[in-house]
Order: sequence, then C-alpha cells, then structure tokens
Amino acid sequence: MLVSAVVDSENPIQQTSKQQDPAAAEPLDALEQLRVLLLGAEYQTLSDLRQQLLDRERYSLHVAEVISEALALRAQQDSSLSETLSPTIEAAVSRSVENNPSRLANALYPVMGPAIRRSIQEVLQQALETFNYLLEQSLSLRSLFWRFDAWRTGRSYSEVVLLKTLVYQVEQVFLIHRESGLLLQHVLSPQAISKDPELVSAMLTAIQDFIRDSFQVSNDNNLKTLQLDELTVCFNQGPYATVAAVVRGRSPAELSTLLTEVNEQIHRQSFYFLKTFQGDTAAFKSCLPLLERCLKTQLRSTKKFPWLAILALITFTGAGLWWTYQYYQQKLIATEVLAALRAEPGLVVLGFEKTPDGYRYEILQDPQAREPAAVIQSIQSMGVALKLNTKPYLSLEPDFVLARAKQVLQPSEAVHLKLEGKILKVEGQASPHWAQNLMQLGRLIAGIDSIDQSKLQLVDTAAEQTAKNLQTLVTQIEALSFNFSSGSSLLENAQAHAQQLAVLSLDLLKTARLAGKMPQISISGAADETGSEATNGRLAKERALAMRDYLLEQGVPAALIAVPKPDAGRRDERSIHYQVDLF
Amino acid sequence: MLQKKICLLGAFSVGKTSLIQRYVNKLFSEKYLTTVGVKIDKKPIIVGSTSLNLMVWDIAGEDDFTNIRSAHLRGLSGYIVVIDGTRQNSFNVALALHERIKTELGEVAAVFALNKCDLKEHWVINHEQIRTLAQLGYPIIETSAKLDQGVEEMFMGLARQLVPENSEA
Repeated sequence: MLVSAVVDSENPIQQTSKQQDPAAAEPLDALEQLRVLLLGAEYQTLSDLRQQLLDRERYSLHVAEVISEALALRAQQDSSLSETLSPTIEAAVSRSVENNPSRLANALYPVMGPAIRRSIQEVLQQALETFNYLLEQSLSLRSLFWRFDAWRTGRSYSEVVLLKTLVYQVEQVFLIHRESGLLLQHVLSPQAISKDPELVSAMLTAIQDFIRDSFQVSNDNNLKTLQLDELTVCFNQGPYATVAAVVRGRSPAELSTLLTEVNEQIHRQSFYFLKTFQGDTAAFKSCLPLLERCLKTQLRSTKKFPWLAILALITFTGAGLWWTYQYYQQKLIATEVLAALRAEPGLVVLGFEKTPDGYRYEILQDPQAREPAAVIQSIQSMGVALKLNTKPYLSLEPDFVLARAKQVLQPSEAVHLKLEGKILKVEGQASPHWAQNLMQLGRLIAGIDSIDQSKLQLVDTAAEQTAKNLQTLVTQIEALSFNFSSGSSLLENAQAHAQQLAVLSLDLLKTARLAGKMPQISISGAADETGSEATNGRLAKERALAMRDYLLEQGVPAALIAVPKPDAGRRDERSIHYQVDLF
Repeated sequence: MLQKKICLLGAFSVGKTSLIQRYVNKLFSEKYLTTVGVKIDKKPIIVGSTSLNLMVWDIAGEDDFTNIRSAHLRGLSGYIVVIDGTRQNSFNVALALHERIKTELGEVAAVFALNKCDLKEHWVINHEQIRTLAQLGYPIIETSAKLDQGVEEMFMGLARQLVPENSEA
C-alpha cells in the first residue's frame, strides 16, 4: 500500500518505485527504500517541502504571502527592523534620485513648500527679534544701568543681562543609563558651564538611589525634581534611561511634558541599544537633536512689539526706496537729455557715460548749430550734474551747408540761394562784384562742389546810383549863384555860399571818381547893362576870379576850378554862375 | 569611548577611599561619602587599543551600622573588594560581599585588593586564607595607598576584564 502511494507522486520517489518494473534502469537504493517504508506519505510531503525551498519561484511565492505580517510582527518587537532596513532604504532613495530626480521631487513637492515657507518665516521672525533685542540692549537706558551693575559687581555683562531678563533657561540635559548611572549623551546651552557631566550623571543617579532607599519608597516612585534656590533639576525616568534637565530660573510646567515626550521617543528610537548597553555610548549620538529640543530659554517680555527693529527697517527701506527713485529719475533725465541732443540738427553725440558726479556727454557741434546747453535748457535737471564736452565739426546736412553759404557769401535780398545735392544754385539779381566773390569763395564752402549761376542776373546798381548822384550834384552846383553890388567885384557875406559850394564840390569830386570821371567847375561872372561893355566884361571876369580865389581859400581843390570865362548869356545880372563839366 | 561603572567595596576603614585618591582626578569631596553613602570619581584609561572611562563608585564601608545599598550596585561592570591585611574582619566582610554580589548580579569582573602591604609585618591574614581567595578565580593584588604600590595594577587588572578580548590587541 505504501509503495502504491508513492507511485502516483511525481517526486524522485516515483522513480524508485519502479523497482517493481523489471525494465527499471536502477534498482532502488536500500536506504531510500527503508525511508519510503518508514515514512511513507510523510516522506513525500517532506520531499515536497524540500523541493519548495530549493525552487526559487515557489519559495518566493510562499514568503510573499507572509512577508508583510512578519515585518509588522518584528517591528512590534524591537527596532532592529528599521535599523536593518534603513541602509537599504537610504540606498534605494539615493538610487531613485540618481535615476529620476523629478519623481521624488514630485512626491515631496506637497510637503516641501510648506516646510520651507515655515522655516523661512521662523528664521525671519527670529532674526527680527534678535535684531530688536540687540538694538534695545545697545541703546536703552536700562542697558547702561546693567552695564554699570556688571561693572559694580564684577560680573560679565551677558551674565547680568541673563539674570535680569531670564524667566528660565534649560542649561543642560543629561541622558543617563538608568541602571548604571553612566552618561549616554549630554547637551549644553551656549551660555552654560558644565563640570564633568559623566560624574554629575553618576552622582545624580546615586542621589536618586539614596533618596529612594532612605525613605522606603517603592521602585516606581521616582525623584521628579531637585531644587536649590534658582536652580532646578527635573527628571524623567524611563524604563532604561533617565532624562535630567538642569533649569535656571522658574521651571515651566510644560518642561515636564516635553521631557516625557523626548524620553519616550528616545526609548522608541534606541530601545535595542538601551536594552543591550555595555558602556558604548556611540549609538546614542542620534538622540542629540531630541535632547537639544529641551534646551529652551524664555526671556522676560520677549513678545512685545519690536518697534525699534520695525522703525529701523522702515528707515532702511525708505532710504532704499528714495535712493532707487533718485537713481531712476536721474537715469530718466540723462536719457531725455541724450534724446534731445540726438534730435538736435548739427549736434552729434559721440559718447555718453555715468561719472561719480553725474553724466558726461561727448558732442560734435557744427558752428551753425544751437548751443547744446540751450538745447537741454528746457529739461529739468533736478540737481543732476550734466557735463557737455563739445568739439567743432562741419555738418554736411543740406540745411547747414546752405546756412554756411549764406554766412560766407552775404547775399543781398535780391539773391536767392538753393542747394540741390552738392550744387549751389544762385538766382536773382546781384552786382558783378558779388558775383565775382561768389565764384571765388563759393567753391571753398564745405559741402558745395559746384555753383550754378545761370539764373543770376548781373546788375551794377552801384554805378547807376553813382551816376544819379553825380547828376544831382551837378544840378545842385549849377543852380547856385552869387550876387554882387552894382559895379563891384567885392564879395560881401559870401562865406555861407562858399562853404555850401565847398561841401558840394568835394562831394562831386568823390562821386565823380567813383564813376571814373574827373569833374571841372567853371565859374562865369556877369554884369548888368549899365556900364560899358569893356567895363562889364572886366567886371564879370573880376567877379569870377574873386569867387575863385575865395573858394580856393575855403579849401576847394584848385584842380576842380576851371579858368573863368565870361557868361555871355546873362546880361542883366550882377552875379556869378557855375557850370560843371565831366571828363 | 567605552564607559564602565565599577565599585570599590570592603569593610569600614580598609582604605578604599585612599586607594581611589591615589588613582583618580577627583571632583567631589569626601563629604558625599558620609551623606549620600557614595562618592564617585572618573578615571580615563587605555587598555590595549580601547579608551575606557572608569566611573569609580566608592561605596561606604560595610559594618554593623551601614549596609551597602543594593541600588548603588546596579549596573556595575566590575568591582574591587578591598581587604585590610591587618584586620581579620575585613577578610570575612570581603568574602560576604563577594557572595552577595554573585547572588544579586551573577558573575561579573572582580579583583581582590590586599591593602596596607606597607604594614605587612602586622598582617593577620595568613597564606591559607589567601589561597582560599585565589581559588575564587579572580586576580589578587597587594596594594598600598600610602606607598602607591599596586594601585595602578589593581585598576588595570579589573579594566582588562572589562574590555572585550578582541579589542585588546
């Protein structure tokens, strides 16, 4: 029956069962046979189990069914699971970050933001409070008093400040192995002084034991606090470790809760190490952050509004804003000035830079252009120093070429100048003299290559005027006459007449020379009908000579006065007349 | 850095405190010994390649009036039983203490110190007794706090038992 049971199975025993078959290749091993006989169906089960263990896939399937429960069970028992898994998890996380950082970043995103914000907020708040505190301590009357107090009592200033402002401060925290009293970890606040914490730790334990033994209390009742004046030692006893906090000042109620929480967490975190502690404290380094949480300090009236800091901040911000406003305003003005200078014809802005005093502009200026200072006069400088460095240059813009031509050539109103490309077109009427000037100077003007004067009409207006003037003078002189007394050739009251003639004659001489002519004034005398003809002829000549002499005396040039001749035409006058000839 | 709690035990006035005074940098004065019943000192030493901080608990001597508090013995890694060679009683107390600790804590490292070896001519402890002691299997060191003899060896003898074998290379 046993044998038939194994024949059905598929395990190696199946082969062994073939011993009944005479064709079987190998005879059943005696030991195997014995096993089959002894164990029967159980042997098959055992073989099956062994096969399961050897077959990777089947074994995995079995483990997969229980792995979660197993992990949960072990996690309940002790913390070894987290210790074992943490290197693997750390490696997995870093691997994941290496492979695809965004995946972890996305997962952490919802918690990272608030955490960072909160952290920044706390840091800022803390910074503001510290700043305010420093301002207060360095400025207030109270701080001076404290300094005096420190000097008087020989203590350090910070010590006095601490005493005056402290509500409480947790100075040291000990983590003590409960059984041996050995120190596991110790943290100290920056201001506190510690004497050999290992010894203190042992002594605290001894004192606890002493009290417990001395007053016959049960083992569950522990010493909660030790108090000496302003110093308190608070204890929290855990099953394996004690947390002791040394507090200066009024110990707060919430500290006890905090110590309990911390101790509980330490027990959770380092349960295994606490339980198996053999004097090596290195494993408890991870408890340091927890212990540091207990190092709390509370100062008096720390929550009052930090007005000094706020005021200082407002001042700094205001100053910053004002400076920024000024800076941009200056920049705006500098840009506006630049634009104005660039827009002005005849000015070329070569460069523009900011100097410590203000702004400096390097400008080329055509002589015909407006002064740069006048250009920017309309722009409000608002105290910005604007320095304009100008250098002369000649602009070849048509307007400036034309203006330059007008300045050089000084055309009359009858002349019209026009620029077409580089050709100066001259139209209208002008004197030959001006036209000559135009040909000489015109080509020298920058921006003009040639001159077109085909439409210029040459008119010698000066010569015409001179001739006209000459004629007027001739008429004026020839209209003059001087009367004598009867039969006399004496000049009576002739000064005014002579002077008039002298002026006219000098004028005549000048005008005639302009016209390129030489004038001659002939004086002809005349007599009335009363005397003899001979007498009259002589008298007429004498009268002309008398006037000639007088005129010479009066400064009329001699060359101008011609030989006098009798005036046959005038018979009944006792006078002289003048006749002007031009040669 | 390893830390170990060790205790000095022995009858009243056998010289425990003097031995420690020879050996350690002390911080707390003797008054604790009479008030709390224990005085604690620290001695950093190096055994092989291991740095060791010995926290030495000097526990008030045992006699008819004072009983050693069990609490002080908790968590100790080793102890030194001090015997005054000139006093027979101290030998008996030492054996009793050793028995008590074995009962309370099980097997822990220990050293027997035969103190006051400077007064060897006045010793009342005989060779037979010392042999009995040696049969317990712990080091026996003759010491003298006065002459500074065997003190270092006594502490080192205990410290060597406290450090794991493999790190004592």
